[in-house]
Amino acid sequence: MKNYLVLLSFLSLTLAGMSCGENKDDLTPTPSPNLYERLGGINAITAVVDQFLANVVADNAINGRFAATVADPFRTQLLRNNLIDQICAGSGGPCQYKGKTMLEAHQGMQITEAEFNALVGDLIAALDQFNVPTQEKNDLLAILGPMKTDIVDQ
Amino acid sequence: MRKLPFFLVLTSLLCLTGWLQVAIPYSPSQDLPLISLTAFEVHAPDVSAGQALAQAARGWQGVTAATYNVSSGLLVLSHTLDQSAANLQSRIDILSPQPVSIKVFPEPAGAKCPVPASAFMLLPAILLGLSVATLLLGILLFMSNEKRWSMIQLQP
Repeated sequence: MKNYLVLLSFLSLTLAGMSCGENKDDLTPTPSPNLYERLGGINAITAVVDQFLANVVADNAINGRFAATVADPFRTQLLRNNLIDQICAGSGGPCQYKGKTMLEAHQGMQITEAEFNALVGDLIAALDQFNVPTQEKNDLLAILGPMKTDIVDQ
Repeated sequence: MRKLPFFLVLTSLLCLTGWLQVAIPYSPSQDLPLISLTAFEVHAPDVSAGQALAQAARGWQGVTAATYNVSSGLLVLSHTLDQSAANLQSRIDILSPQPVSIKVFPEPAGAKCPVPASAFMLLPAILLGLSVATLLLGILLFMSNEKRWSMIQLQP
């Protein structure tokens, strides 16, 4: 009888401990989704990048810069994959950018500020095409914006 | 001759190391199908007609993105390689009141990368294939050598 009482009290204490643990867990705030998740993951980023590339090629202000890329599907794919990886990694996704640094990639190209602004305009148009919310759009542009110094006038 | 399997296995390990260098860490973009970007000179009569063309093209199989630029008069489609530019042009021709042509961009001046982009894209597959092939060849040669040596030793 004494053994049963000891066992019962042990079980009740264990259960009480477990329930206290559950309450503690309930109070822990769930982590807010990162930008990658808020953008919609890899498929959404791929769709935006494809639209962005189409916008760039249709844009007479800058499409001459991409003539060689358009002519070769493998070059198109390299650029596409690098853009996807860059946005994916920058927004906290499970990707790693394996391309050159922005400075290395644009060295000697003498890209003007007007050309850079046209490119950003094409990206914004692609984001608008998919109704990306203003917050996510601004967060993404804040990640890509600092690259300007490595791209313009190099 | 007995050293050949050793060199083949060594080559296999080197190729495997090379493959690990280029393929790891994994990125989901590695598995995406190849796309091509094709620009069509459409010169639609008005903005809405051009945008309607782009909207229609977005629904076609293999088209991953479409846009119409009013100032350039270009309709650009991003599409998978199973959709040829000629096939897409014939579909646009049906919808467009004006004749449509494929825009050919002038070859850019200046230095070009001597290594074709296809080499960069196919490098992981080439390295992995070489690694597997040389490993198998090395094992087969090793086994045949062992068999031959054991037969020689068995002979009186």
